[in-house]
Amino acid sequence: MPSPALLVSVPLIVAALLGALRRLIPRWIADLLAVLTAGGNLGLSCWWLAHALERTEVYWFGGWFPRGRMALGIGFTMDGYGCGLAALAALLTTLALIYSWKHMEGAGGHYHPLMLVFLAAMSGFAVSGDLFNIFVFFELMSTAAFALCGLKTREPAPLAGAFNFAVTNSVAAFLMLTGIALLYSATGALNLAQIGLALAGRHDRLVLAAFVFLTTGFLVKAAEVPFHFWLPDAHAVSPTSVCVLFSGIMVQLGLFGAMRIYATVFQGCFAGTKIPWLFVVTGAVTAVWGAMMCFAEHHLKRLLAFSTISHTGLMTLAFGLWTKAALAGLFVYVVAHGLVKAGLFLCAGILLHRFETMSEPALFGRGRALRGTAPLWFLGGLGLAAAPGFALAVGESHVTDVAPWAEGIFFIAGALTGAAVLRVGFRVFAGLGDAGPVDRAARVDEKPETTDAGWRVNPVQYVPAVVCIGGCIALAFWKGMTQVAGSAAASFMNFRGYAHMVYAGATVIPAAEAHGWLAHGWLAAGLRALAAVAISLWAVLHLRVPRMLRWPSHLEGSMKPVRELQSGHPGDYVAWLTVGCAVLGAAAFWLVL
Amino acid sequence: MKRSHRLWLFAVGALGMGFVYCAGARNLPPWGQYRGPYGDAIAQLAVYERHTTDTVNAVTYDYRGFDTLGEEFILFSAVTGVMLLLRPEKQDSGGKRDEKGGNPASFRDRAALSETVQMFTTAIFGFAVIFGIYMATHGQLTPGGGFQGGVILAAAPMLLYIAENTEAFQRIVSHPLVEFLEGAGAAGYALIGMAALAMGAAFLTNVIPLGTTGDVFSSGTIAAISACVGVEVAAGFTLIIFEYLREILSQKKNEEP
Repeated sequence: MPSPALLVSVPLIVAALLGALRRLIPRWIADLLAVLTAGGNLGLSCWWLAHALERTEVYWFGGWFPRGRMALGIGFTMDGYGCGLAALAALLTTLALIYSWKHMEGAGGHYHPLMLVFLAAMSGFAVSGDLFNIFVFFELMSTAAFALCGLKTREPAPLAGAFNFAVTNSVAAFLMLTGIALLYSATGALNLAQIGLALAGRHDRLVLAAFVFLTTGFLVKAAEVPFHFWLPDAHAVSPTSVCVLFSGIMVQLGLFGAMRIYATVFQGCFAGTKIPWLFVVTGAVTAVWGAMMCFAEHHLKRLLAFSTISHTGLMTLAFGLWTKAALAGLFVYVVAHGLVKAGLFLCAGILLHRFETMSEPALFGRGRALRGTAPLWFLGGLGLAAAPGFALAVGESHVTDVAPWAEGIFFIAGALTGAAVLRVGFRVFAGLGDAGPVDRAARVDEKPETTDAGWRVNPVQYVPAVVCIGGCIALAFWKGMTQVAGSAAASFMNFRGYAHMVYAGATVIPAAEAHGWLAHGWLAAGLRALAAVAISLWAVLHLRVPRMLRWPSHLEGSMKPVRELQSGHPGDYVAWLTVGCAVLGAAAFWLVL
Repeated sequence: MKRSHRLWLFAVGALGMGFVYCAGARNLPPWGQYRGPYGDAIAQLAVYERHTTDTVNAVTYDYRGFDTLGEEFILFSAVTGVMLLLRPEKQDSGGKRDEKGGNPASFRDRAALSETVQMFTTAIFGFAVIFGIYMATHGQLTPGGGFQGGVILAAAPMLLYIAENTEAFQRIVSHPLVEFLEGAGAAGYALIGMAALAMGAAFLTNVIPLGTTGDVFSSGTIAAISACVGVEVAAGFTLIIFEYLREILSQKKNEEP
C-alpha cells in the first residue's frame, strides 16, 4: 500500500531540490521533473480514491497512534471526498505544467518549486484530519499562491493584485487561528474527530464564535460574497497556468475546508438547527451576484474569475442542503467545473499568447484565425451553462433533485455565466455584431507570460485544454462517476464512521449505487443551454433589437455602481470582510441561541 | 470608496466581530484552569519515549513534526517568493523598469561608522556564529532548536554589514551556495521523513537510535531535523536580507544621479 505521506513529501522534496539547484538544472529537466511529480501525485491520489470507495483509512505520521481518545500526532484521513479533490488538484497541476512547458522564462527557475509546493499544500489540505495541520496547509497554499500571483513583476498591476490577495487571505488566516484557539482551549484537542467527540453536541456561544471565525476564514478562500473581492484582482494578473489552479481547485478547497470542519467538528453541535441555511443563503447570493458581475465584465480573465465566484456560490448552496444526494452532486460538480474552468482559462491563455491582450473589445473578430481554440471555447461556454452532455449537468441534477427550488438559482448562474463566455466567443471568434462596450478593467493590459508571444500557438498548448473539455464531457457519460460521488458523499457526512476510522484505523464503506443522469436534469440542462445561447446572441446582436428590448446589453454595460465596489483598495476589501464576518456571526447567534 | 465610508464600514464590522469574539470568550474555561490533557501527557511521555528534555521540541519535531515540515516550507516558499518578486529585471526581456535593476556595484555607499561600533560588531560576530550553532544543535536538551539557531546564525552576516566589511558581507550572502543550502535544508527535513518510509515505518517516524537522555547526540531524528531546519532558516533569512538590501540599494542608486 503506497504511503499517503508521499502525496505531500515527494512534491516538497522535488520543489526544494529544484530550488536548490535552479542555476544548474536545464529548463527541460525542471519541466519534466515537475510534470512527472504532479503525475505521480495524480496516480497516487487516484489509487487512494479507489481504495476509499471500499475502506477509508487513517495514516498517523510518525507512527503516533492515539492513546485512548487523545490523538498524539497528526493523521491523514484518506476518505473519498479528500482523495477526490487531491486527485483533481494533481490533474490540474499536471495540465498547467504541461501548458507552461518552456514558458515562464522570466521566473528565473522559481516557478516550478512554487507550483510543486502549491500542489503539496493542496493535497495535504484535502486529506488532513487535524485542524492545525489544515491551517498549516492553508498558509502554505497561500504563501505559494501569493508569489505565483505576482509572477509577472514587470507590470505594476500584478503586484497590486497579489498584494490584495495576500492582505485579505492573511486576515482570513488570523480569523481561522482565532477559531482554532477557541476550540483548543475548550477541548484541548486539534484532531477533528477528537474535537467533534469532545464537544459532544455542545452549542454555546464559544462553539458558535469558533464556528463563525473558522467558517469566515475558509469562505474568504472560497470567495463568497462579501469576501470575494480579492479573487478577480488576483486572477486578472496571474499567469494562465496559475489561474487554472486558482479557479479550478484552490477556491473549491476553501469551501471544502468549511465542509470538512462542519462535517466533523460542528455537525453534532448544530444537528437540528438551521445553521446549514447560512451556507444556502450565502451560496445563493454569491451565485447570482457573481453571474451578474461576470456578464458585465469585458476582461476575459476577470470574466472567468467572476464565473468562478458564481459557480462556487452554487457549490456552497449544494453544501448547505446537507443531504447525501446534494453532496454527491456537489462532488461531481466540483470536478466538472474544475475541468471546464481550466479549459476556458487555457483557451484565454492561448488568446493572450497570440494577441497580447485580454480585453474583449480589443480582441473583436481577431480570433477567426484560431480555428482550434474556437470550438473549445464554445464548448466551455456551454459547459459552464451545464448544458446536456456535460458533467456539470449531472451534478446539478443531483442537487436540484433534493431541492427543486434551487433550480432557479442554478438557471440564473448557469445561463448568465455561460452566456458571458458565449458572448465573448461570438465576438472574438466569429466577429458577430459590434465590439461591445469598453470598461475600465478591460483596458488594463497584460503582457503574456510567453516569450515568443504573437507567434504560432505551440500544439502542446492545446493538449491540456482538449483534455479538460473532453474530460468534462466524458465524465458525464461515465456511470461510475455518480457511484464514486455517492460513496464519497455518504462517508463524508457520516461522522461516526469518520471517528471510527480515526480511532480504529479504518472504516468499511458500503457500496453506493450509480445513478447516472436524472431524468429531470435533461430538461433543465437543455433550457439553460438554450437560454445561454439566446442571451449571448441577444447581447451580441443588440443593435438589431428594438431599443426597448436590449436588456442583456443594459446588464452588460450598466452595472457601474456595483462594479465600483471592486475598487482595488485592500482596505475596502478588509472592511467588507469584517462586515461579512459580523453578519455571519449575528445570523449564527440568531439561528441557534 | 471614500476613506470615511471605509472607516465607518470597518467600524461596524469590527464591532460585530468583537461582539462575537467577546461572547465566545466568556464561555472559555476560567483563567488558570488548564483543561488540555495534551500538555500533561507530552510532559510525561517525551523524556521516556524520545529521550529529550525539551518537550516543546519533542512536539514540534516529532509528535507534530509534520506540521513543522509544512511551516518550514512556508518559509521556503516565502523566501522563493521574495526572490521571485524582487528579482533583478534583467532576466525579463523588454520590461519597463529595465534600467533600474541589476546588481548594485557595491554595498559600500554609506558614511563610515565609528570604530567602537566596528570593533564591537566584529568581536561578537564569532559569538553569534557559535551561539547560533549551539542553539540549533541543542534544541533537544534546552529551549532553542533549529528555527531559533537559524535566525541567530543569519544575524552574523548582518553584523558584518554593520561593521562595514561589506565586501565580506556581499561575498557571503550572494554566493550560490546560500541558495543551495536553503533548498538542501528544506529537502533534508523531508528526506529524514522518507528514510523512515524506506525502513517500513510511517513518515517521520523516529528511526535513529535515541541515545542517552541529556546527551547532545540523543533523541534521534529530533536533533537531526533541528539541524536541517537550522541550515534552512539561516540560509533563508540571509537570502531575504540580501534581496531587500539589494532592492533598497538599487533604488537609492537610481535616485542619486
